[in-house]
Amino acid sequence: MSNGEEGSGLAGWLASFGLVRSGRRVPLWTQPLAARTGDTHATRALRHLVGILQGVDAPVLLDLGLLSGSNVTFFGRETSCRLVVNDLYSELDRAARAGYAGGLSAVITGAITQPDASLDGVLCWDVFDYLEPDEAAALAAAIRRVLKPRGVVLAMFSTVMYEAAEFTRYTVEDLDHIRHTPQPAELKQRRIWSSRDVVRLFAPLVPDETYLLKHGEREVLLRKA
Amino acid sequence: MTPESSGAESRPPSEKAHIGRSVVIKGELDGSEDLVIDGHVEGKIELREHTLTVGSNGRIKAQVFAKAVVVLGELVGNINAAERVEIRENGSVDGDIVAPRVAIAEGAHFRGSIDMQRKGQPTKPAAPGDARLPAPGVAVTAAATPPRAAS
Repeated sequence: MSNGEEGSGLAGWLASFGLVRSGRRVPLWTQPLAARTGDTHATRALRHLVGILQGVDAPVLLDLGLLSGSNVTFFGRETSCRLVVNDLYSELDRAARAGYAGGLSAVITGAITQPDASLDGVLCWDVFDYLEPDEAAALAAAIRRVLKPRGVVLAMFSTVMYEAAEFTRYTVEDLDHIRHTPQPAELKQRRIWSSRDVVRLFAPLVPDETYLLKHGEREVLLRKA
Repeated sequence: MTPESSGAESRPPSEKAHIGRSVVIKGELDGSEDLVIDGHVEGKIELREHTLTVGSNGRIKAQVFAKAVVVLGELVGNINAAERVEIRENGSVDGDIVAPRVAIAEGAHFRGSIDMQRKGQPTKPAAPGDARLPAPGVAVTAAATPPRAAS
């Protein structure tokens, strides 16, 4: 089995038949684990999310990300929304440190306490990358419950497997750029979600916009019918 | 010699009322000057035209109405500020905030909702001559627990 070197092992064998271009689309299990860097990256979905919320009267937006004062200011200024801050990452991490790493579904269900159909938007950032399928299903179900009809979810999914146990603090710089700052955590990234898995996870919410960005992140905007 | 004006304008701007760390108050607290709290307060705090500062040792469990609120300690309860709310590093707020400006420093804790009113929307200024406002100073409408004697 390949040790991850381009052109060797299985990838090289496939490349010799032209089935895989050497140096591209190397099978996941051959890829070395990546490291997060604290860089500013482009975002395409954020502008759409803001645009949707600007069209809502007195929107209510739930932010599940790590607390960021500048994000509070940004969303308040751009959307005049009521921003509900619920740092799910920290709650999951606390539970993991306490030894509940195998059963975070209860933590998730207990964390999303908003009434049914009470929110116009939910900002998930990349929290799903840290969840097992059953935990992700619990979070997706909670989001479906609290979203109003025509409500919108923004979720990000990494297409790269990161080695370190870290969260990413997403700090909005403007409508088109977000700074990614690694932050030590107990939880590690669990998996890479395929587009099909994301659609199934959130069904019957419908993908509205999907962007695959150069820095290896997929941004998905979904709407509730 | 300049004649002194009466009322709040004559007090030096740096003068603030202070509740020390050993003081525990349960009830309604209202006043017409800036207030710094390093003790424990439960109930309701109303400083409509002034600034409430929750000191690093302050532990508040109350509904707060003020012109501005600065939190260096811990506050559990809803905050309604006419101008701004600041949660400083190591400050902690659990509750809903309604204020035109909210600043949360890195290292602060916050859980709740933030409603930053649109510009131009009227806030809730205190009416002049409001009979509810006490004479200058801080009024406490419930008994305060005196400092315990050192054992």
